[in-house]
Amino acid sequence: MNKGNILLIDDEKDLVDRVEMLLEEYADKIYKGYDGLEGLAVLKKETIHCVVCDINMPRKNGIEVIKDARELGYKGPFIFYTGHGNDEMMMQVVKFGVFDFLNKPNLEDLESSVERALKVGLGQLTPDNDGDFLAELNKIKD
Amino acid sequence: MNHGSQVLFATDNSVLSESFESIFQDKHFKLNLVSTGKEAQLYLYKNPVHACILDVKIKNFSAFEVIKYVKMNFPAMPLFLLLTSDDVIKQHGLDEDKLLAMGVTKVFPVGSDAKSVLTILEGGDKFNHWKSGQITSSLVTEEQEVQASDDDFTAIRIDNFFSGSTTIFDTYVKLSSGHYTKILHKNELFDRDRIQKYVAKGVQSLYFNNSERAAYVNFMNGFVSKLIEKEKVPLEKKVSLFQSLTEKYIEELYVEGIKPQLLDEGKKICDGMYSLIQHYKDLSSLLKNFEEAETSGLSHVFLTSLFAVVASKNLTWVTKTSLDKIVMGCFLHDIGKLKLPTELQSKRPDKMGPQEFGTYQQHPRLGMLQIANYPAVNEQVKQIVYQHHEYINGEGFPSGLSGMQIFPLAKVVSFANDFAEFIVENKVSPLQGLKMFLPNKAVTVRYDPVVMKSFVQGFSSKSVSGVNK
Repeated sequence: MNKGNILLIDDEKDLVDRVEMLLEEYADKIYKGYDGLEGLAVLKKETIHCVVCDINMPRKNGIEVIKDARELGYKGPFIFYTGHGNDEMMMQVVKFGVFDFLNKPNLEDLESSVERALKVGLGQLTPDNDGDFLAELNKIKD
Repeated sequence: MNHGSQVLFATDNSVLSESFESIFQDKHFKLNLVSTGKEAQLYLYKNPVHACILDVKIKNFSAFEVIKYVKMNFPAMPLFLLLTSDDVIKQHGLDEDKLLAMGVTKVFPVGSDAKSVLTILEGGDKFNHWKSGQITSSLVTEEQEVQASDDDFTAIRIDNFFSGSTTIFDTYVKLSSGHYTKILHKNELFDRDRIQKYVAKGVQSLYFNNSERAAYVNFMNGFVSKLIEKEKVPLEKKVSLFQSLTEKYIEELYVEGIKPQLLDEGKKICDGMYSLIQHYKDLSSLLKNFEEAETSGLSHVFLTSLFAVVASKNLTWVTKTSLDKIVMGCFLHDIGKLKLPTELQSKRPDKMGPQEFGTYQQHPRLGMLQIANYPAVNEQVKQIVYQHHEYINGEGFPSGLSGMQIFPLAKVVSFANDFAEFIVENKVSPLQGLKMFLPNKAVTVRYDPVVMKSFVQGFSSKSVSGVNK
């Protein structure tokens, strides 16, 4: 079964390498970009199903990356990880649709979030239910 | 790093500094070490610091010189003095009372360790002190009338009042505005008969001092968690106790600010609600009979949290850790309203003029900025606060996000928030509310249908728990 490809974008190389090790088993391929420009270059060339991106980076920050990615037509999930004090940036980034938010350096939930994001990116995620709430309501007796 | 979490520790004792570094590691406070009094003053001059810990034996500017400097320049800064030896204060003819009079917040006696300092710094003593309460007398002191400002007291419904065998708080009955009778005295044998006397008289509320609210939250958190599996206690009573606990918790959170220990208490409330919802396969009685809701903001926060937990019950993608974030997001979702003009804080949005509504729409952003300075609050919680008024049809605020653009956890809170508002405003039970709310397409088009279906399923006996896989 196709597991999908991840793109990691962060200027902290050590962190990227650690995250890559952590996520190896969840993806077919993991691509890396060590700043926003490199990340976007990969996104143009490769098929990506989930992007994990830093917010504060040289050359192009996370806001510019997601904005450009959406303009390029990439509709897949973005997961942002952020350090403390980037709240204004995080408020801007949400406008472009963010799948999840994680805090640096504590990347708790990263694996479960990426696993689910990949399924969304691949279009494999079956909804929990069909969303027919009225049918469900009719089952409740007064 | 936020300055609110920076702590300065001045000591030239390397064993002590290492033990503090190890205890403070990965905590909410960042420890900065200096080895002389002069360095301490220089550091305080250059850097914003939340609190200062001084080893009484520091040299090159004594601890007492630094205390004077701090009190003169940063009078509000918590200042802790660590007595690594009694000799120094004896030489200066000082004792604990005199040190406190000089402005020291807390004196730690010889032998105190880093853990005890951290507990005080995190506000833990405020929460736990009731546990060390000793019965001072087997006699029950007579009731005593007191005059005090109503603002100093927290009310609690008399049927939701519990204590241990010892009376945990001074407990009052309100006679009139500013006029109270202390009916139970702290650290005395708990006298249930005295409470019953007031129940018989039709008294509906008891009061305790606001300064005891954190301890009340801590006590009730333990008490309520033990009740969850007691089958003899009806579900409605358990929910009512959770409501009382949550309301006092929110008051403490909004008035005293977000402290690490308080966040831990919030997580315990979340764990309790989660256990409660998991424990009952059939929540339908709650759906029909729960009529505790009042129009207060505190009641609204509780209902939003409860409904968000129920809605999450059948969502397979909500893990236990994300449920913690959802509940904390519910607790904090309206904190930005505190920054709105007073007249807007309790006004219904549909009664607001265009300009007022524009101001009101700022509250998610104000809320996020308000919690921005607390590193202990997770980014996902901040995003719930920021996005809790976004609608999937794009007609929400502040960003007008739609569909997949909205953070999934915020979609749960968005629905729970509006539904809680709806049943309180319409004075209906949750079941009546569902029957009015869900068939209204103009309204339901705002919410994720999967979340709404999960919410209805959460109340039905056929529900299957999806959380915590």
